[in-house]
Amino acid sequence: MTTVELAPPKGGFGYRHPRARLVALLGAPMSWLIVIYLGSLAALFLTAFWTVDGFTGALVRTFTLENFVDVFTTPAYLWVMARTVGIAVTVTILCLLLAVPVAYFMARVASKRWQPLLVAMILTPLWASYLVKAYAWRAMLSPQTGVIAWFVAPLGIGGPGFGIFGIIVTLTYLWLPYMILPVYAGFSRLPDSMLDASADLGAKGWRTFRSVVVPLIFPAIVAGSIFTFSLSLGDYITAQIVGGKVQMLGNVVQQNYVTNLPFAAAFAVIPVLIVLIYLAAVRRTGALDNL
Amino acid sequence: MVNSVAISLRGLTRRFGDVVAVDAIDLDVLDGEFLSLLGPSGSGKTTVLRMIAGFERPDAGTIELAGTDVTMTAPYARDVNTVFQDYALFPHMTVAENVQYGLRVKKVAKGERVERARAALTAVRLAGYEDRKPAQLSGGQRQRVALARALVNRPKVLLLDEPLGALDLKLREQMQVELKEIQREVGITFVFVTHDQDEALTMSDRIVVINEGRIEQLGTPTEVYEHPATAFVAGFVGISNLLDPVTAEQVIGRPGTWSVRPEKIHVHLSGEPAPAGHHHLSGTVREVIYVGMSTRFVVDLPAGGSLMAVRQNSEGSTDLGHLRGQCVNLSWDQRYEYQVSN
Repeated sequence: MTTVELAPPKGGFGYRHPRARLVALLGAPMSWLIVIYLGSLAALFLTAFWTVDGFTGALVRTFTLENFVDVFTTPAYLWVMARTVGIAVTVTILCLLLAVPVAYFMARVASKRWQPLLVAMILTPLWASYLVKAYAWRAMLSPQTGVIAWFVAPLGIGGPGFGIFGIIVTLTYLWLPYMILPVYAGFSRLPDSMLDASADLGAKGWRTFRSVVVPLIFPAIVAGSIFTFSLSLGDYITAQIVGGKVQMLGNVVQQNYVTNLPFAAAFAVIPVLIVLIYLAAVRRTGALDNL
Repeated sequence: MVNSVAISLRGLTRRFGDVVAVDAIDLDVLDGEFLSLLGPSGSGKTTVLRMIAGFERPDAGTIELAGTDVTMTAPYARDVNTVFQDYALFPHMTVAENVQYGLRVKKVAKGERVERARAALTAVRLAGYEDRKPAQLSGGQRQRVALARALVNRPKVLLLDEPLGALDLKLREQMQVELKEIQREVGITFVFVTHDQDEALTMSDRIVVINEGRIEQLGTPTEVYEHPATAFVAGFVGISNLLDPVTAEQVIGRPGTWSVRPEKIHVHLSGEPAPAGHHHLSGTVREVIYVGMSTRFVVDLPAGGSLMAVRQNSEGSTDLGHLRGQCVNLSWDQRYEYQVSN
């Protein structure tokens, strides 16, 4: 009897070269991230240290901190920063106050059959154009002809008109789904037995909410707040449409980028810094560990 | 000694849609006893427990704790505590914070709180683990934290929902013994839900066998094991060994379905006659299963059906595989046969 020695079949190229497999998987997204995304950010930072010749309007490519000095010493600009952060914080808090009960209802009260439908309903507004929604709010807020003005006219008061109130309401409306969805996911992940256990140990509803529910959904709240805060911080179109004379950070950037690109770049660095500070602060709470 | 009643259930009923999960159960749990609710999954035993805790509202019937009607009382106002199947420890709190939670909610002063938590953790042999988070503990340790968190409140009744289900066999057997010891030390009434008959037999003072939302039998482990009231109990607790009416008529001489526990049946290897007072029959050995401490025989009966007999491997030859396919005599003391209702 003869035995034929058969070599075991060889694995494919990817099996023999795991590194090549990794390159194939991540090559395209990584080059996008590094070249396009980080590249443009780097260009932004670089430009912020240049200046523009006052007479010719040409770029002067010499390193200077002039733009940043300008940004941080001009009271008007400091006000714009403070106002923008204030708006972003207010919008985030409003979104949170609205999202928590809605998300709680979706995840823990509504029947299993309704849950996907409710999620779809929350997502539907995201399909509509941002501009359409902003202009819809312009129609709502308009001082004389707006829906709100018409509604409150019989009470002898005028509508809110355009301004900071309009910006906050519109941004809250626009970004609410970005808060509801992560908080909903957070509530869904919360085991029933946690709530049962808290009640079992003598805690009433409010106590359970404070001591058990909030700490456990805190990472979800943080995730949502990163969306609402950073989206509000960088917005300028809403301010243009419903803000009246009120300016946000983005408006200053937009007004300067043609005439003084380096200054606009320096100004644009500020929201980036604020978001980084926010993320660092959030990281300290440990909320990002479980994202 | 006459024990007073810790929990009294009357006509307790719970429906989920068209399914009657718990069907008009009447039950008195005595003060200080270890009572197990034993049944297969879906039998309604956990629902009974959840209704006692207050997590589920009964559709009908009443629940009394120490003589007070608590049927409509919220869970936080009931003097019972629960050990959950998944332990339900709060992941963001340390072991100490978890154990102190109930005391903090009840505004017990800090010094007493710390002291009681330490005592509870010592009782479950977890002293020194105060500052760990639940994620840093093993399954058995989490289980003990859950126990300490419940016991520290000194409830009238402790409810345990399959608390050992997630542990491996060795740890489970160790925890069975420890749980029983702890229960004896603290003297609190334990209501223990399990689907594991060994667990129920090992730990309980009394066992309630539940099936399809009804109580099949209530009795001590010995009563339930040796005198099962129904065919379901005979089959669920221990190994089902039923003699169908035809065989029973032949061997026992009385009608009905009868049962004998496998370890009560002698297998006569050498063909010696059955002792006086024993019923006997012969059959063909279908399987010989060696399980270490004992050997199990599955014997096919001439009139149909089969019996299992267990022989301790304490003496003689223990390599009995050659008996497969052979005819053997089986006998048992008449005192150990019992009739079961269907």
